[in-house]
Amino acid sequence: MTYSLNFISVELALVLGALLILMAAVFGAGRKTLGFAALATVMIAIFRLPATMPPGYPVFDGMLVSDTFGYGMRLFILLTVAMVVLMSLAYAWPQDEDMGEFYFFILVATVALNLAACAGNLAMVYLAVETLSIVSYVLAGYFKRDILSTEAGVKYFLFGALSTGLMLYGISLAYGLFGTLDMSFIGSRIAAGDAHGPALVVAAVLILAGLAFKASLVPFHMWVADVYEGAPWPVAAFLSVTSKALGFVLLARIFFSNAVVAVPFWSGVAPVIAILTMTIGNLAAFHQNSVKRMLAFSSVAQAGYIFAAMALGQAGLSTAFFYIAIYAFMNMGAFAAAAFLSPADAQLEAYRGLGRRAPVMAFLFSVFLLSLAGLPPLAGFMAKFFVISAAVEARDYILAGAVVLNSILGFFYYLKVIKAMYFDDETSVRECLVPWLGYLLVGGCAWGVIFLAIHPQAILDILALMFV
Amino acid sequence: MISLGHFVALSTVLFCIGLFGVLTQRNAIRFLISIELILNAANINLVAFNRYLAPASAEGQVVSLFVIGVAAAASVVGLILIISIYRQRQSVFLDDFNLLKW
Repeated sequence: MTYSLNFISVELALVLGALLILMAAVFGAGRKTLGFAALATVMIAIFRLPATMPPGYPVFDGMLVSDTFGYGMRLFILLTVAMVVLMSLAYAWPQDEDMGEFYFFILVATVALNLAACAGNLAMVYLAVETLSIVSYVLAGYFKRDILSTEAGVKYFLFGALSTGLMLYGISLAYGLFGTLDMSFIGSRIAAGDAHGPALVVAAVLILAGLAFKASLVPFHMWVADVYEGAPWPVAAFLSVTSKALGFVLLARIFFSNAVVAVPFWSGVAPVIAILTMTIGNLAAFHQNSVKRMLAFSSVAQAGYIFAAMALGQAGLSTAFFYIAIYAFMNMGAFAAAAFLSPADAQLEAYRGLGRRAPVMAFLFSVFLLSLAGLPPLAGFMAKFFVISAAVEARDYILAGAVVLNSILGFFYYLKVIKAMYFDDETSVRECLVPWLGYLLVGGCAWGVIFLAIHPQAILDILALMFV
Repeated sequence: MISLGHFVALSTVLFCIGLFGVLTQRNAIRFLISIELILNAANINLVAFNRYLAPASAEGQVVSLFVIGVAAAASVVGLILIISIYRQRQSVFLDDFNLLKW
């Protein structure tokens, strides 16, 4: 019990910080104070993390597992949430919005994410995913007087409630098949060949549906553009990086437990989903007139590349998480730079001429876009290169070809934004003021994108520890 | 004599009704009710499997209690969002939520 409490002390610190922030907001603390308090809470959680380093006992009777994978993912989640909080601090929020609840919800979502990342039981998976979802619905609809934000919240809710409902039904079927919800037990039963044909496939498909929604895989990607467009920029960044990564973490946890790709249909279905996701994401991004919607569909396409690595089975798992780590830097950077360049209006016209009015930020935005596209010296290229070489090694030439073709397709719409910033005449002369915190965040992401291109080994070493 | 098969049949029918409702209903409230049907189908599964297949532990029953609680919380948030959009648009029909293109 003491061990279990020590293990979740990170999450307890987050809950405590969240409650304090909520109380501080009630007593009228300012936006900056609340934001820095949230940042401090996440920092405390990060520094607390090494103390919970796993000796590997089951936590709370196996509800959580303490393994290096969960440990690494908790660190990843806390770091990306710290970036989201930084972005919220620097972002130009509308004057009449209260910020106390915002940071409260972000921290509560972090707790749910952390618990999901080390879930050892399907009941825990459901509870954590549902907690995260409920909080995310509110965050997407955070501007309650804004007609677009409310619509985004409603759409996210309707899609999200359906997909978690499907996942829960799949979990209940798995319970019927194995008589337990413990994932390691289920994994060993499947490894022993105890799987029961069609019922197991139905359960797996339903669980996959719930996770595909979080990871925005086709055909559960329809909400992405609408929700990102209506939601505040920092929330869109949170959904596209942290929440999406969680979908992949749980896919790895559930479908790759005990070193078996748990269900026989994986190798048939997964590559198809991967190819559809990247192609549909890229084609839809192509004709978007809003930079936010374009980035939303680009994040769908990126999810396709990540899932392509996962579709290769155990061999591609660490490649997928290498991609996720790099994707976090470049996508967070792109969302942050886009938000700082034009906080209120995400239409492409609003970005015209920003290369002259905000040269530093526009340059960094271009770096992130080129990295997302996969231009050779940048980290995004390394990530794509590893996916392609993993696919070639597995002799899956169709998948490798699809990734190559899609990467080329992606260049066109990323370059469209860069062209608008540098070569088009401006339609407005709006000042572009970015606080120093904004430069700190975007600069940090840019450093990550460039540093990881030169030293991908830094991430690979950590991944080698995570997948032992 | 009521067997496990009856319970599973009931839950499957309930799940299919819920799924049918989700796919056909254009009213946000009906959509929400259909989702509740899916959740309750899962609950019946959990409780029935617990009773017939693993009676030694109460895992399924406990999880179903959690599901009821979480579903209530989700419905609250969902209804708040639906009320909020109703105040802005005077409508709860999904086809009217068209400012963001689907």
